[in-house]
Amino acid sequence: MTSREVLRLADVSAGYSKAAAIHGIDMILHAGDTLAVVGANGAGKSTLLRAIMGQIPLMQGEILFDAAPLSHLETYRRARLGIGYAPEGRQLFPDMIVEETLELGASRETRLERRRRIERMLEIFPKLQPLRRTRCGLLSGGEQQMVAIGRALMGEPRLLVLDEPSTGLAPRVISELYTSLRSLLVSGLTVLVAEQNARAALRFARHAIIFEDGRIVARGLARDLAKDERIVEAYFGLSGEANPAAGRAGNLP
Amino acid sequence: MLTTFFTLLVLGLLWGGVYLLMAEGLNLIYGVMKVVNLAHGDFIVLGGLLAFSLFSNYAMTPLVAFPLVALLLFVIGLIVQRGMLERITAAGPEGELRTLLATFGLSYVVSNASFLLWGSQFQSIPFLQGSIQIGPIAVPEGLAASSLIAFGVALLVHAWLTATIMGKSVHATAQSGLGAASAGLNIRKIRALAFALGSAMAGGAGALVITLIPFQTSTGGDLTVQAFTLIALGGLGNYLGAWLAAELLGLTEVFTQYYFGSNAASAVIYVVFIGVLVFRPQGLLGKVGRV
Amino acid sequence: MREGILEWGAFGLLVAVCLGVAAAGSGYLAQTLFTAALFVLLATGWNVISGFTGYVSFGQVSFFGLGAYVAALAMLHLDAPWYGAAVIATLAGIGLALPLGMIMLRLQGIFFALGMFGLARILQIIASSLEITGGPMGTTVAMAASVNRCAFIMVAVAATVVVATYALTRSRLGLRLMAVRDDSIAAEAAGVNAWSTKVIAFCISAGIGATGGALYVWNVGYLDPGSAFNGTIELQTILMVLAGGIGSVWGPVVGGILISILSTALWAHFPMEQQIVLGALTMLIAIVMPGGILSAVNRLGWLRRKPIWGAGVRALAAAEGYAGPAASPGPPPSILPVGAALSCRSLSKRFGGVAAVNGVSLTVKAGELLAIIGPNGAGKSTLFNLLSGFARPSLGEVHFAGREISGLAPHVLARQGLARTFQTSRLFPTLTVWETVLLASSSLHGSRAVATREAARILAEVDLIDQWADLPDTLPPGRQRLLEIARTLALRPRVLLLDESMAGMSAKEIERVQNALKAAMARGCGIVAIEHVLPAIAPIAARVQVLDFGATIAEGPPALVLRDPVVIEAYMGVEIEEAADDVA
Repeated sequence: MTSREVLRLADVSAGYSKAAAIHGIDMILHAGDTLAVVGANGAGKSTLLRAIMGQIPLMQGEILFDAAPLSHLETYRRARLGIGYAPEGRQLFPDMIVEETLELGASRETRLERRRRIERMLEIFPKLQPLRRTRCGLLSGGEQQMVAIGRALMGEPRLLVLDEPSTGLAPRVISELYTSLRSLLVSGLTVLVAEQNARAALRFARHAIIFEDGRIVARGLARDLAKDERIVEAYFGLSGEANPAAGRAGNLP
Repeated sequence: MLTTFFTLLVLGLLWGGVYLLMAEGLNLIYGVMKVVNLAHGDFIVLGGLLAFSLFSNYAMTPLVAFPLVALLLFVIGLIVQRGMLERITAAGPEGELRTLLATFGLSYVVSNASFLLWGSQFQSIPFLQGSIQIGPIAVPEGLAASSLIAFGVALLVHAWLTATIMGKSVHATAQSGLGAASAGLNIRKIRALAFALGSAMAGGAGALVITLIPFQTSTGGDLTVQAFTLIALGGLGNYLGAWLAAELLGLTEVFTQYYFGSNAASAVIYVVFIGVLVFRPQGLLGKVGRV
Repeated sequence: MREGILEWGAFGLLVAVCLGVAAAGSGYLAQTLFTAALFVLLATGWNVISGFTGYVSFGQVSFFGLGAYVAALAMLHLDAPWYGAAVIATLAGIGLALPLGMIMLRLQGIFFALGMFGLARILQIIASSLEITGGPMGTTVAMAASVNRCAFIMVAVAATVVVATYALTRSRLGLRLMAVRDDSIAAEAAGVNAWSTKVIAFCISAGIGATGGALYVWNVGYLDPGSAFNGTIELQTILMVLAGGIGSVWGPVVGGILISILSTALWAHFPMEQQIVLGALTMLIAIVMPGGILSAVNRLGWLRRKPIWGAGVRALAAAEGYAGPAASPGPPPSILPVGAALSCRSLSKRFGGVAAVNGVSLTVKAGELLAIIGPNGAGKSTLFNLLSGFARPSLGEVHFAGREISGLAPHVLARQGLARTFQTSRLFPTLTVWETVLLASSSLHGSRAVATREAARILAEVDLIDQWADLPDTLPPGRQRLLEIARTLALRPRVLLLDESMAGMSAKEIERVQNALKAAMARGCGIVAIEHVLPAIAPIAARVQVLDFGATIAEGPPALVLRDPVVIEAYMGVEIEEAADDVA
């Protein structure tokens, strides 16, 4: 399983103002692996993903994709290198229909190839099949998220980066979404997903890291971390204090 | 009486087509850059005067000059965007503000360069002076031809935007820059393309309009206000809205001219402009434009 | 302080020399000086609306032209002396700006920018078509008897306006202008009426422009539409401010002097190319050097803006000291309602077809803390916008201090003591820590002494006093949050709405905030806190209310609610039934 290294972050710090929002992050993601980054709102998960996609500059450290430094590459170049990105808030094109939106994810392919890939996306997300000609602005939250992920997959990436895919979705929809994602893993896709919804993400991923205040406070196998008290602490507060929810930790999946 | 009414109606609708082409380029640029190009009117005048020179030096009819002028303005737009505006790195309001100020400076550069080349006289191209009789209505040939071309080009651009992958990329970038970038689209290149195409449309419109109304190098500012009024009335970035607004303005102007004289007609645009600011800053179809 | 003396010494010397040259120099020199001083005046006027307020105007020449025409008419038909004409012109400028600003300053900046651009053209058309203005040919008025006198007065007026503008930037209004420019929503939350602040600035700016026009027509004795609404004046004015440094008092002075020298030289040698060069220069500065000359000077540590009313902040804080809740008097108990401080009933907000908030009711009593929790996208922040006046509910009503408040503006509510923070902190990039808190305290207290004392006390209370002169983006995230809370405390809140205020804070900072909140609660302040860091809030929370999908799914004492399986599920997701562990 521990095969080729797809993504490596070495001592990465980044942020929006002069003060960093994530501090000295080290992590490695191997081909075919799935990694969940979980933590409360404001813990720095999105900042981490934006740094990987070149949306914010690094203050320190280095990010390597396929062993080559991404340094100052723009977001679209990273996407073309093979990092599919479904950003926070989905960032769809509200006036465009589902097919067109997907098509833009593979804009450099031939028309025939674009059509082939669109059909494939509609197989992965069968819910979108009847909606292929619907404008994205009119879709439900879950459908929009599927389109956003589909658009990211259209470039046939080696690494899929998902930022909070479950935000605002009903539990049933979340489980549908992750079921669809799981079906992708057979083909050896590498996935990095940031989630507040820890249960869904930890079910889905093989490895996980827990984020708190811009730092990694725990890492390991997702199924071990799901039982870890630190995850409840990361959500419901600071370590070492009387924690009303801590008693629930043992009951987590 | 009825004949007069229908004649005015047809004339108004035809003028609408010309206005549409003048405004649509600005709309395209606004959509993608979120900034109004204050030199837009000066680009229109430049296009008109270029067509005038091609006509007076090489006897080139405006129909032939149209694509040439558009191409030239495309190149100028490309240079402006890639060489200058793109270098403004700040994002958000600060970036938009600086871009606006830069295009303000640009408008002076363009209009005064035109002044150096063509002087300050009014210029016009005599072209298709006759009229076509449709039933009881007489339609000036020049206006009909210009309007049809303008409509055609606006439609073509719109078709390009909605039907080709390149055009869709422009459309997508206007709706979400981050979304477009995550789909692997080079948004810097797309912005340059949109700016160049918008400039080309301005130049092309100028080549047509100069056959209908005389131009002077200082007309640019008025045309910028006019184009902005149209796209604001239509709802910034809204193509269908801009078309409606253009037709509305065409009709208003033609009717005002007939019933109240040409002085009143030239003031109409400003009345509409004030009306937009006071009553419908969100445009006819658009969303609310308040802060 | 020594730098201040240097600045003012240099400025005083410059003015004295100019006055001397104006009085005794040759006619040519005096005329050159007149033009330079006129442009410094116009640039200063433009800077007030576009630099201090952030609304770029491309039609400041409208007021110049209007002032010139009104002054000319006053001299011709009312036999007004130049100063009388100037006063009337100034009032006319303000009179036009007031209704205009009231309409356009509610809109996005682009509408204002182009609206002003259009206004100059409309006025020009009007001036050309009226008989009283002499139509397109213009009109002649009595010229000033001597150029020297004219130049002397112009320099004196320009210098006075610059000094007055400086005073403006050091005043309450100046502080509000900068806050509105930086973030008008945050300014509203700090009790500032953003719209009226902008309108006032616009009127001041218009008055300055009109004064310039009046003095101009007195100087040249002739006026036509083309020269009154000359685009070159607009271009030069804007270029001067940009070149000097937008948003600073000295920018228009430095830029005005340099650019008028340049454009006079250009006019003398390359009259045809003058505008191209000026236009290109405007582009160049906007693209590569947006801060102008002054930003380069500032980098050397000179002419930096000093915090407003910042003298002796530390001493003040030490004197005020944080003496515990008992020492801080709150509003008189009679004002405090016995029951609910803030409540809402079946509040809903729809965006399109989606209900972001769906029939939420809540009540917070004076002196208690209600915690609101729920996953991302549950509608918590929308709920806060509805409660604090930033959004109007589609359905339902909000009661604050015994009154129904839907429809009241956020700044009105803030001044009445309904204060809030934002999910992503909204601070003012160019205001120091001190000024941020002062802004709020000065929107509540009319007296400068009380406002500064309050601000100092609060900074001491939350332990930000050592960073009083720092800009917010130099603070770590936790301290930025702390500053936002300090800003709300300066409003002497009766109800505080805290939106994830403790995210990213250290344990020590949380303790500080907890103490400050307890003190506020002891004064009778009710608090509603959206929070993820529950232990930070649980010890002081009376109740917890849980939102999901825009509706309340649970409420009660913290210990009970956090054991509720429904709540855990909402937060961390439901268990997915299928056994898929082996796939990964």
